[in-house]
Amino acid sequence: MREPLDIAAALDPARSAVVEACAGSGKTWLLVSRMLRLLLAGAAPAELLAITFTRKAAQEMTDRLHDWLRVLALADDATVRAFLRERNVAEVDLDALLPRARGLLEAVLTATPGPTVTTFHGWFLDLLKRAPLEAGLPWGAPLLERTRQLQDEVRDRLLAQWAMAPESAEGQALRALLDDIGEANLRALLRHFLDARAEWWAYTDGAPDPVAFALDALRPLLHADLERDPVADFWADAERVAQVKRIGHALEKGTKTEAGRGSAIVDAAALDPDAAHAVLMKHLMTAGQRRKKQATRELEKVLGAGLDAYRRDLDAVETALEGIAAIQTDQRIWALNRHGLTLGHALLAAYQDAKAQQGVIDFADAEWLACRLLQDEIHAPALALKLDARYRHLLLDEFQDTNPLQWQALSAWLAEARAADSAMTVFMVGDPKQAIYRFRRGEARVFDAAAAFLAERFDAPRFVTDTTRRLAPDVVRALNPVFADVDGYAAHTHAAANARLPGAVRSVPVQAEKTDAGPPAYLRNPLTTPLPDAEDRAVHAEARRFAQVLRDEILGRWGVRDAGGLRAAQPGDVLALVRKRTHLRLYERELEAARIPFITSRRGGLLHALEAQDLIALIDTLLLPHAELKLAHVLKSPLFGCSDDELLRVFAPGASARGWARLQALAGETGCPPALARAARLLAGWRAHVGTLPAHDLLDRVYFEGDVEARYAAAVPEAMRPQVAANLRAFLQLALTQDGGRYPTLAGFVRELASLIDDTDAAPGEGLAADGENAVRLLTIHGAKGLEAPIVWLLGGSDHDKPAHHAVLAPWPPDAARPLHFSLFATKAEQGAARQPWFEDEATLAARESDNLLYVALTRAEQALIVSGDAAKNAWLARVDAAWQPLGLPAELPAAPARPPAAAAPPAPIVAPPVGRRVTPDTAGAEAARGELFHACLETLAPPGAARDLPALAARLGLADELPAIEAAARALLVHPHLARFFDPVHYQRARNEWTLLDADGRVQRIDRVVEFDDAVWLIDYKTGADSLGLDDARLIERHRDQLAAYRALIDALHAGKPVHAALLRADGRLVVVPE
Amino acid sequence: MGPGQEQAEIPGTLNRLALPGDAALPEAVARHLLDVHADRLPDLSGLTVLVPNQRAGRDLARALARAAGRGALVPPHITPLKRWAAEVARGRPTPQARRQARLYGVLRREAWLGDVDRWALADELLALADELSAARLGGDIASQLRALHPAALDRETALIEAVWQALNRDGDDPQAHYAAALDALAGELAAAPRPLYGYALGPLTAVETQFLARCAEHAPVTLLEPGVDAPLAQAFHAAWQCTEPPLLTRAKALAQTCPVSPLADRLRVAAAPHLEAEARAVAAWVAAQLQAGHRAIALIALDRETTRRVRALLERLDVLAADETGWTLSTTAAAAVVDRWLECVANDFPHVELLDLLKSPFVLGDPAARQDTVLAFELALRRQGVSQGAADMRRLAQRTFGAVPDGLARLFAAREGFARKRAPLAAWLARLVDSLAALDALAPLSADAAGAKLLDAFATLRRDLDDDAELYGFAEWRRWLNRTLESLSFSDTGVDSPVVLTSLPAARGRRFDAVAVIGADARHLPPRPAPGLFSQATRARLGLPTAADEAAAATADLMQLLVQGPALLSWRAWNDDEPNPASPLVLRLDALHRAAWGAPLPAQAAGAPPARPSAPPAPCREPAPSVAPAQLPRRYSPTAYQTLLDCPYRFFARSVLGLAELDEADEALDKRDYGNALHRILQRFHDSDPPRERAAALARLAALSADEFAALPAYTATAWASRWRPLQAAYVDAWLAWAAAGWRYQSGETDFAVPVEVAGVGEVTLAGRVDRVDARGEARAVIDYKTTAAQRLKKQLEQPDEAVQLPVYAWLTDAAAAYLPIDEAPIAPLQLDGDTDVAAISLRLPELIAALAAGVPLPAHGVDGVCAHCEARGLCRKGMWHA
Ligand code: SF4
Repeated sequence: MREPLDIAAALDPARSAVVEACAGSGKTWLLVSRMLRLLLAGAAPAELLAITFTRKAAQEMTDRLHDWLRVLALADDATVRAFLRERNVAEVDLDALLPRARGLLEAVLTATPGPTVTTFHGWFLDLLKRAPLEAGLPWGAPLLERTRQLQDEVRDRLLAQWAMAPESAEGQALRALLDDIGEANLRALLRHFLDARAEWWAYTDGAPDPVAFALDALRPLLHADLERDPVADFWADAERVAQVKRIGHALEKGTKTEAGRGSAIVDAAALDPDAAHAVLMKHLMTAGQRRKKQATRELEKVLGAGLDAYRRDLDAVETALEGIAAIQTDQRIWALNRHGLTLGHALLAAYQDAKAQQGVIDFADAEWLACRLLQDEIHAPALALKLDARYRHLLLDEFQDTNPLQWQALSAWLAEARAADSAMTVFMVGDPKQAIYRFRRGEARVFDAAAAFLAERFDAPRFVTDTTRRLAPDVVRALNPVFADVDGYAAHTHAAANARLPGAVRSVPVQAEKTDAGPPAYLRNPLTTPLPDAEDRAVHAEARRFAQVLRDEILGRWGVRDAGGLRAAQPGDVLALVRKRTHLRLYERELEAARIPFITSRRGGLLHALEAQDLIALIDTLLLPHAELKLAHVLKSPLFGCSDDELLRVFAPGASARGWARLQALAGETGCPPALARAARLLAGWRAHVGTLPAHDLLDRVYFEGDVEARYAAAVPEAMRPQVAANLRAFLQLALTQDGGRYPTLAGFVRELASLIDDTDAAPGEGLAADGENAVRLLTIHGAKGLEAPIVWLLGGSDHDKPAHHAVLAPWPPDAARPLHFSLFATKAEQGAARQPWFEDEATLAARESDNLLYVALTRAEQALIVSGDAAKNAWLARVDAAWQPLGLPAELPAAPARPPAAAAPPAPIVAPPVGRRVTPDTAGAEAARGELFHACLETLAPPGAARDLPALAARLGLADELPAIEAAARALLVHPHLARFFDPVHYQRARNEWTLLDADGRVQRIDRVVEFDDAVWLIDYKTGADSLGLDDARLIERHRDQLAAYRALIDALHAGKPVHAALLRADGRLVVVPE
Repeated sequence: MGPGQEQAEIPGTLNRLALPGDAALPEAVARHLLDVHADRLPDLSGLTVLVPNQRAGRDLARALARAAGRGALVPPHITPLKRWAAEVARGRPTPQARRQARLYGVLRREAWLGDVDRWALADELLALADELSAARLGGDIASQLRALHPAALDRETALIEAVWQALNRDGDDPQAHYAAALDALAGELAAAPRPLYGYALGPLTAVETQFLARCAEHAPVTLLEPGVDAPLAQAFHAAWQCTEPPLLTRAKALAQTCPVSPLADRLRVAAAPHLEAEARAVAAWVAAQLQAGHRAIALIALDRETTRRVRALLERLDVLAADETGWTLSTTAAAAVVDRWLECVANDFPHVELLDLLKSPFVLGDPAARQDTVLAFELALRRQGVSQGAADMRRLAQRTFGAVPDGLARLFAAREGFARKRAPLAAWLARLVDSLAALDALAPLSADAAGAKLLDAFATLRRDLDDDAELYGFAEWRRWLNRTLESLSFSDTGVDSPVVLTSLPAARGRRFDAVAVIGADARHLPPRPAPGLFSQATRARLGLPTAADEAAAATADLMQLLVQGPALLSWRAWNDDEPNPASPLVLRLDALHRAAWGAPLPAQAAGAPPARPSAPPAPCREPAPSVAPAQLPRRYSPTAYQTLLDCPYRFFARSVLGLAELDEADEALDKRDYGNALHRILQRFHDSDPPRERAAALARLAALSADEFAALPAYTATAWASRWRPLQAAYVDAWLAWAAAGWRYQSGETDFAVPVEVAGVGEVTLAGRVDRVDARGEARAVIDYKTTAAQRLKKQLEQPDEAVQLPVYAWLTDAAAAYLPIDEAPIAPLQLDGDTDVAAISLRLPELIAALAAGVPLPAHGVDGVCAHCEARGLCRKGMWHA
């Protein structure tokens, strides 16, 4: 039951609610307002748990909450009242709530723990960290983000293992699959299996032998007898053979083609069954199907009365052939699953082992383990104790992207929690129309299931809102007809505040432009005429149009609304969306050519960027200067900016010395071009640090000494500068991250980069040209989730989904505890009859998701919406075009004057006096240790003595064995008769060992021994170390004179009046008096 | 106790005394001591002052001397409590490694723990046991837990109880040891009472509090605390330590006493859009402080990454910072070498690790001496695709150098000498150290600060573990070693500077001219403890320190630092495109500031770091070099010709400069290798004069194929065999049909060359190697095997002047030419149209060469289809061209 949104009810902190909110309707506003209302109503911050879909959204929500709390804390009373009224706080409560509202900022910021705003994954990881014993995990098992790399490593290892044991079950399965589907498909199959591991675990949960379990469940769905060869059976059946022959003979009477087919069919009976079957499939059937036309008119005429018999025969044989095809399909399905599940399961086990070895878990593990934990009634009480927060108010955002496993866990937990605490509330927001994460196993139907569950258990009404605050009226007008036919879509309305906001809508169909030149001229001269680009497809033309329209019509012309009124559009106002990354490069190139700055979410973007490649080539060169291509690459990069002529000198054809050696030699010659000399000098300098400097420190040196940023800025076209600068920065940051890891080396860094380039899931995105960079954002629709922009351009190209193949079928309706089924499939042609309904369900869901993607893309636009694509092939374009034609909406926004962007002052140069110096760390050797121990012995033994644990000290210094000897030597020293005066208490008033004093500057001075007599004070410095042995008295005095003078001054200051004498005590007991 | 409120020091009790908040803590303490004990001057040795750490002690000494203004002073006994206790401690507690191993020995037998990592669990339990011991809770912890949570936490309780029984009962754990030492100290103090002071001691454990209380029974004990009476301290106090009365009220009161913000010209914040911007803001701020004459500057490194960046930027200015924070040993170059070596031992010399070792300055003597050999060896590894295995590498080295070079031989020998039988931890360490000795690594490691620390750690661990007899396998030991190296820290003492990188606890109680907090975001400030075995609530009820306690301590530490002088709080406001919220402390301070003085906290702008300017490079443009005739190659293959057609600049890079990509040693065998293998098989097949009888020919082909694949890695062999097997019959059929038409095999892999005279260059050679030459009477046909799909080849044949391989072959050999696509059954040759003007196509090349010789440049065409697989993009700079 859906009701129109009643904000007061939805925000009522005492009740649960579900809100199905259309795009731009202010979901975050609702959610954060609800948090405020809960807090106002007295909920403790720790009782709030908000779960959203991305970390970014979570952080934004936190930011928003803080901002609002600050308003409540600081604004004047009138503003605060208005603020609360806007959030439906009842007028009567305002006064009472005001003080609490004002205190909320501090209440939230000081709460430990505070409100939890997180993602499902974040929450799961946190749960696991707190309950590792229950989950069977190591503490703080780090999250493995780059799963693909480890998966590939394990896979390659296993493939080799299996191949080496051809007789093992896996070896046989491998051989069979390689023969049946080939290597590339095998890899796809294994990858898809791993990706579906959560489904696999859920499906086979509790089964002692998961593969057998899955196969047992699959077997009844297939033909009963898969062992027999249906083709052999067919040809062994005399009646069938007779039918075939009759058909053949009949055909022979027809047209020429029919006659040809007929005799082939007649002859087939003599061939071996497989060959004969092939003939039938070719000449009787067409592409595996019955022919539409059973006979030509001519044949019909000839057959006359025999026509019916012919038809009967034909139908019987066709039916039999179809039956054979079905059995063969089932046989292949069975083989694929038998072998594929065996290998997949073994691979999965090995992958799990590899992670356990490294002590890491991945997201799938976290999700699986956490869900099990939440569903587990036995651990529930212990788990509750382990959580610091007692969640009583759950806020769920973007719930349409939740997957069935998550929902299973969450619902189990909610049911339990509600039973224990009737005051618990749940607030769920989402929009099934925006569910676009099927590839991450999101399941839009979960939203309905959850809404029903919440209605039943939590008494939560389900509200719907179709009013969007984001979209201009014209955009709304354009949106509605596009989705009018979609099930469950209700026409949207615009917010009243936007009534006068201008809008523009345009569809731009493009066609491949006919190149007037046609094919290249025969015997083209390549030095003057380039090869024309192989295919000039619609997407090329589209890319050109895109850049052109932006440059010539939109930027600087169209007026967009911002806080200060109307101003001309800037690159930053444009959001360009693609469905897939396939053609991003094309669009980027045209933007580059049009000199429009942009940022992009091309996967692995950073490492593919030329500037990053330059730096990688540089590191490669430093590690392996013989890599000539890399050296040449570095030389030509802006880092050194060498010309091709200069390259010719380094890599002179035919010369004996080339490359690195030649470069070094050249640098020593007069007349060496300055660019090469500079390169030789800098490269040699940097190379000297390889192996000792960490990657980041080396790169910093490169950036500094190589003047990298300025040189790139000078070398690249202006429109590219922000992106290049951001990429250079991002690269440095990559190095920083790597250096913090375990056992970093430069080679390790390059290796890591190389593997990152290939790992599309983990590859770092290009550096975001932040600083409020004014650039067109070129993103995937998925990447644009949660974003909006005044102008949105949906680029279509001719993208169409390639059907999945060699993958997993695991239908999992939201209310099922586990997938209904789990099997592998090869291609669409081999889905088999029994699985059809599931495949059809999947197809429906996929179609639905395609609608959703379009909806998400179109609703990013605040004012202007442009859709382009291949006029012939792009379904979305056709759809919007058809919907928009009759509307006659404006195609452009009204013009507005450009407002010059405030020029930011360039940063001031950082200048400072030099401070600090490098010192060789005190590598106290054994000798120094002995000295320390000897001193300690003297301190202990010389009266008044000191309580020191000499054995402990000796052990710490690693001198336990030598202690007796050293102690004896100290003892021997002290009993020298002529020293009695200083060491026998009967001779003096008072003695101090290791006397610590402060000089006027507060520096600590430690004097080995100070002896006070009636008439004088003596200070004695022990010089028993090896370094003193070689010095005669005079030199010894000389060396220590200043120090002793300082000591003397100190004693003087303390014992004003008495003369102070200083002496040095040598190891042999000789006392060397130091004259003043 | 209100700010500035002096209290009399009451003997017999533990006094707490707030000092005036207008000075840095060390100075305030010094002033107080000198005031109270003026009569003792110049000898304050009768007092004991407990300080948070040694460096704080030095700062106090300095403050005392300066405040006393005398030539010399006998200082009080200034010491951190731990150190004082260590001085009187008897014996040693059981070493941590020993306890850890003992506990692991118990845990590894507990099957119910399932997959839980025992080492991690052991560490966790030990830490908890020590905390319990410090809280004097140990003995009855289990009963307390059971009382708190009957019927829950059973496993935890059982574990803790077991650990306690096993490790802490004999009073030999570090905390019990510490407690015993403190007891002794308290005894001493009781015997000879003397005043005891302490300040900024941070959170105290129960053991320590009890000690202070005992001391107070016999002597005056005073804990000095920073006051919050001065405006600056008041502001921080109001922002961070109060929540009552409401913020606005507090702010108003503050503004009343202090109409001008005391923070405005002291404190700055930097909310940076990214890491680099934060580092640049911090660097700019540090530079400004130095310019203003401040020297003792603390950089509190909450965010390690940004801090490293800051340090690098400062080094550009010759501002060196002393790093007090320390690194885990595992991040040092020395530890990396040990790891590489163990990896080589474990996995029989993976080439990557091996090369790292060979290039390392830590092993095998001077790396410069072997540099050329190593580089040559690396090239050989790449060329031969040897990625692992001493045996293969030995063979390769023999082939490359005639003998196995010394360094390599020693590595191989050291691995053979490295026993891998199960052994106790200490024995494993001994094996490791012995093997390092065999590699001459000990001396270089000792000479390196981190290396010395590493060897030292090995020695200590061996001593500590020498009576541990539990046996471990290699992998298990390595995991232990990794964890251990991760837990040991190493601090670089190579810089002496008043600018220090440090942490909040390490800065406690010290004197700085200025303080920057790097990474003041919600993730780092206040620091959040990792979740442990017990929740915070349970910890609180057990009397263990909680996250809230830690946060309060961190806040107090921070306040002490920030009131001393100019300060900066910086953080990244964005992580990529995610907002990264500021620390709650920053938010609260900012809110208070706005409320009191109507303005946000002043911001610190980023500066431009120093650069070493160079003459700027020219803007990138589409290149088009010209080449002198002498620089042009003399020999041209169809491939070179094709490259020249596709992109002249690429031809320049490949054929003129002669630049080619290096292979990677570990790249899996690819499509090209498959093609090469087929080529070899087919050549051997035809050279063997196979029978023209289908079954026999097939058998021959199968045998030769099996033979060729036998040398390949198992999986490659299997995969290729299953791909090639179904095609063999098709190949034989195609060949038999061809033979039936009268064609006979003549030769395989045949070289053809034709000299041509080129104006301005002289004679050049057009040359090619043809896969198969067949003859029929006078007629000849050349055949080129392809593993490409026939469809694509057909397309190529439509434009013989653009895909020149076959026409050139035809011209070179004066024969008919055909591709033979070996990709799908059935197989049939694709013939070049017999009417093609192969001479015109082939002779275009010498014309082009002549043009090049005449100075026509070689442009980069930038055709996407060609560029996609081009290795020369780094040279032509496509993508960065100005229009
Ligand atoms: S990248 Fe393209 S333009 Fe550059 S050399 Fe290669 S093929 Fe030519």
